[in-house]
Amino acid sequence: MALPEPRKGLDRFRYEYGAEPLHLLATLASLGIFAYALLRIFEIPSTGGILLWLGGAIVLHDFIALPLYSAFLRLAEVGAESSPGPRRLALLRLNHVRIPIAFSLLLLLISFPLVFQLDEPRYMLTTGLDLDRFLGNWLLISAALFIGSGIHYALRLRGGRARRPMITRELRRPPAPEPGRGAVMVARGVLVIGLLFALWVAALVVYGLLNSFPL
Amino acid sequence: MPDRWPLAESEEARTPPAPEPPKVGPFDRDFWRSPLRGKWLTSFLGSAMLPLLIVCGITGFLSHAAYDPDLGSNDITGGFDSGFYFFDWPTSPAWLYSVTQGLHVLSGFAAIPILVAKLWSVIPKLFERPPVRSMANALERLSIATLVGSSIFLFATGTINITYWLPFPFAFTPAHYYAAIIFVAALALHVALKLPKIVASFRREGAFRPLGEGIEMMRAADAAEDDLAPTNPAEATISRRGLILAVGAGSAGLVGLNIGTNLLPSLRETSLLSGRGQSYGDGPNDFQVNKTFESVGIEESATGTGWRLELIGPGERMTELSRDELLAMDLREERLPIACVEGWTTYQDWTGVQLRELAGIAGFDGDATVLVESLQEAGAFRQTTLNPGQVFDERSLLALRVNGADLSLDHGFPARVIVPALPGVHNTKWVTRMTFQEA
Repeated sequence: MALPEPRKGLDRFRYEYGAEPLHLLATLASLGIFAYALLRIFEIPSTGGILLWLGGAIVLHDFIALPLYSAFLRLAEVGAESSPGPRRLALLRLNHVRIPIAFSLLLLLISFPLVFQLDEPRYMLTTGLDLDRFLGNWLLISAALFIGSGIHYALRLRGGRARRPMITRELRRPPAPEPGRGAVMVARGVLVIGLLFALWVAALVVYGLLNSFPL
Repeated sequence: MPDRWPLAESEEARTPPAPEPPKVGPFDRDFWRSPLRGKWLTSFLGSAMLPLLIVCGITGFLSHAAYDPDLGSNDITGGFDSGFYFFDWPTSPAWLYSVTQGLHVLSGFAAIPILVAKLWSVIPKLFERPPVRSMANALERLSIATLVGSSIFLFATGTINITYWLPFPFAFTPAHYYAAIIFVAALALHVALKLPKIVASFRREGAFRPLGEGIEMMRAADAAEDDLAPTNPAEATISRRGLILAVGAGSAGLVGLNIGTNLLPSLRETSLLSGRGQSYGDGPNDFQVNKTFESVGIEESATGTGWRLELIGPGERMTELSRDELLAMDLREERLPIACVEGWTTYQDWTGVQLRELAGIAGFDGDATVLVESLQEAGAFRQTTLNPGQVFDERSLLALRVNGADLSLDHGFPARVIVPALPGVHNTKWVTRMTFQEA
């Protein structure tokens, strides 16, 4: 049997590197600019910490935030799917609850330092105003989102289209086996943390309401 | 598209001997069950985000240019790249900086929900096996790590900065600036490498056609052809269309809640969750303050009747003018914006002496820059250097009054600079000295 011909030239490069030569050029150019930026960052005192925050951003999102919100969404879905009654209605309820919650949390994400008054002295020295209205504004907007979602839900129910039975697709494979014990424990742990967090936010809200919002 | 994409990966490649994680948990493709994931969804989200990121990036670097970092000590990013900014920031149109910076903040906000959804749609690739298919793949994954890290960092520092909270130990401006450079470099590579996949995906399924599929018509993508598709999809609880509409509504909502402070200042009070959405009142000095008088540590007596404006010309020649003398000069009224780097704008009617007239008193009638200094003792913005176009524009004023009344202490009494299209902090308050120099 004849030996396969040894790769030559460009084919050899493609095999060893794994892509076209231009890929290498482009990647090196891009990573070169990255290296330049790192150089500048380290030349400025006190900015070296930025690298930690860049890495921390990845960790915070990929390994904390995303698993957390995915777990909550999954739990909500399981709750909806195991409820009695037609699937279409269950999904409608699920989406009309989780989407306003998501919007509300998104708004909190971009304004939490104002809502929770994390540095009021600095805000007051800079602008001359106070932060009292922000918690109330966020709660009002959240309430408006829920009311809006509720109205939309009611309108969809009236149409009658919501009560049609749902054509469920055949799944491509048989459903996966039950999750392992480890996964169940982690899921429970996440649920407990989430509940504690929700309780803390709720307590904050109640306290704020009792004291007309300043915290 | 060319037959073979010039940056394509090879089908056969040497796989580096990296340890392979066990097929358990997220490393098992069966773990990722959402039927929404697939090339089309990721391509669509990425394509929707790209124009926003381009606007955000360009306006961001324009903002740096607007500070004229090559003049005096205007550069607050560390002083390295100022040579790249070889042009003087113009003064026309007067709303230039207001619009570029307003767009920067709004396009940033609009991109946030799309970014969250896109990261969710590609998370299975973080755990793909083998972890490195080839040298090329290893380098690309490194670049993507810088892309993800820098994008989250940019959006986080950007949104936190405008809430006046300061949790980071580093200075915002150089950090945001260099992270932006990292981001643009990584994004350009990412788009170049992914473009054929995006085009192929849109050609096959139609760029918008899947938006017409409701939850029953929608199918999970084919896992054999699509490395993002689930191998063991669960039943859908929302359609791709539903997810995209929700993401779009999120973007629209964030823009709507901030446009009142940025591009439509008459709607300021609709910005309910913005630090700059509150009204101060109806009086002539009731508009947004950045740095109150209390915060800058100036003795109130220094702004009293003993205050003099020092104009320094060639050969250290100095002229002193009192506020009464300034008020007796030819005064001009201009409606000009204060446009902050944080994205907000406020238009007011300013009355004062033209900067070009002050330059004339100092001995210059053409090409001159001016170093403006404040009574404020410390702080990066206690001084500003203005370019010749800004000094000699007929609308550039040393303002003494606003909306018909004397400036309040918070707004820079006894005098402040106001120049069209100039970033807010460079409109120096509590001016004490102006040193004119040959350009």
